[in-house]
Amino acid sequence: MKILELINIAFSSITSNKMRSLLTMLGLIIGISSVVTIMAIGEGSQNSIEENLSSLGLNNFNLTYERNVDISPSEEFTIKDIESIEEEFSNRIVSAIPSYSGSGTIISDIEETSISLSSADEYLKEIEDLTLLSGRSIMTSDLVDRRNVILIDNELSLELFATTQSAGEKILVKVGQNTNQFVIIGVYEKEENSMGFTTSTGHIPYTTAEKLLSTKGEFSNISIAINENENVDSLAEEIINYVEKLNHNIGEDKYTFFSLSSQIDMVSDVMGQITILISAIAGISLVVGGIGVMNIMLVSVTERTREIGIRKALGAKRADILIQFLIEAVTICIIGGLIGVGVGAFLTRIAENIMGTPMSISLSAILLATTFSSLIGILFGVYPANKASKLDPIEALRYE
Amino acid sequence: MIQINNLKKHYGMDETLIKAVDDIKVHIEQGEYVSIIGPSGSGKSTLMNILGCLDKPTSGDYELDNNNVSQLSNNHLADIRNSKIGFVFQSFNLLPKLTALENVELPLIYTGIRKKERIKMAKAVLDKVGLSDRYSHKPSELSGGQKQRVAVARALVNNPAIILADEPTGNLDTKSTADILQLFDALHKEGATIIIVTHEDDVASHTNRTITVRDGNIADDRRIL
Repeated sequence: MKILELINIAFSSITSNKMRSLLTMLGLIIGISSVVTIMAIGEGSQNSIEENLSSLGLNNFNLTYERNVDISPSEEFTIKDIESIEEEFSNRIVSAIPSYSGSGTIISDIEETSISLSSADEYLKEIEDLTLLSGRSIMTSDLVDRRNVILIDNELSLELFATTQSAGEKILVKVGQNTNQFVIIGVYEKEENSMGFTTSTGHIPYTTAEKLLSTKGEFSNISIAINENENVDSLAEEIINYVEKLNHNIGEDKYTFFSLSSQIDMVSDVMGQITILISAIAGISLVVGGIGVMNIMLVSVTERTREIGIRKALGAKRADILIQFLIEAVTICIIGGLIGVGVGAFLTRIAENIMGTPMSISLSAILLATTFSSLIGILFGVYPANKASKLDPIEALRYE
Repeated sequence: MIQINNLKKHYGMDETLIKAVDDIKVHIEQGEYVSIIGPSGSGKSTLMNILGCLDKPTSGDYELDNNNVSQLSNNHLADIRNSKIGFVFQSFNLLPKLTALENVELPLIYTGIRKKERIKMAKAVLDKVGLSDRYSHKPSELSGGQKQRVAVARALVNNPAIILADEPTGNLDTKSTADILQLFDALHKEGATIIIVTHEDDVASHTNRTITVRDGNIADDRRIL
């Protein structure tokens, strides 16, 4: 019952000095709002990076040579290796194809547009999780006949033909010195992403890519798509061991793999660390804000010495005065913290608009902010409150 | 009501020893109307602080309303101040940001009485001191005499055993002084125990008993019947 009265006293003291209370809170407002905003931005961009990367396909990886090791001709990847892998792991992988990639230029009357070419097989649509807007994906016959067919994205299609329904149109693609005519067989929807990947990718049959992008049919990457219930890392290790067995170089670590999921983990890790670091820097302003609160509370105690004397003379115990001032400090901090969360939410909205990435303030950020600010209130409020509670009533009543 | 024996209050040590109160023995009955007078430095303020349970004696006994309060802890003394003593100060000591009603409510907050009940009790005593039309006025909106009447109301609200007034008319003009003394006279007639510390003979002459303190001792104790 009495505690409610003490809260009441603390509140009226805060509201009777609005300007001062607000200035006291300012340090905390700045601190809390920056921590909250940075956490939201960090989490938001982390999520968006993960989403963007995972939309590129998670159930595949590339087998390649370890860097800085000598690969003798007998150890190089061959079509026979691929066939053996497909046979050995037939019920665990979707497909294994030689991976060629390169860049080309689309020649047209108006302007030249660059395009990156990547090899694919009949599982392209599933592996890359493509949404076709028109036409079809690559078929087995395209692979067998090494047809000059290509899938392009909607943006490129719009740019070239002013429509997304460009399947059947022909384009000229120049790779190196050679120019080849390609038939567009399908248009897929380009994933929205905020990371500025502006070059468009054209998917062509790997057999076509072989004659177009490589010399003598050599390739240094095997692109393997695995079943959904398989784990990328462990299956990749198994396949590497198998290839080593095929090429009689077990344990020499000449092959390795890279996958998007491992890259995502790395990027997330780095983003998380950066967020924590910046939050910690912003957290310093919270400590400064806390010292500001203590400063004002000390002034307030001195200023209200007489009030304390009167209250004590009328029967206030030491604990009553202590709690009154402590509640005042904590209340100031909590109100400051809540305003800080509000300001943080506003800043997050602005950042969201500027960066174009969806962000939201997490519940944990709000809880963290309020817990932290009440802790600051208690930590920096105890000293002034204790000082107030220890005042001798006779001295305090005599204070002018 | 008040029984004081061999009361001493000493400050400092050895050569710097100051005997603010040196062996006082006094007995005050319930319903008495007493004034304590004496020059400044006589020890009457110290005596008054001990009587008001704001200070503890170095030695001796102080019995208030059948409780020996001479060596109680600070928290117990706070309780005694809250329930047994009503203070009236020279400089009113009202909280400037609270209304007259809220000021009168203050002691009741520390007693732990509910808001509704508090307001009822505070209004009753404000009515008694003739301020029924000043409930929501801040001290700055009241005259000196009115402020002191609020203070008297605050002193009365907990129905204390004694009312302790320290120079209650020191900051008041003649008219207000007369008002306040009249108020004390009326309270005395109702049976309240009142102790007024003063250096004005006019004020002392209102009371029925005048105790003169000098050099930490009672120099004179005179009853006027």
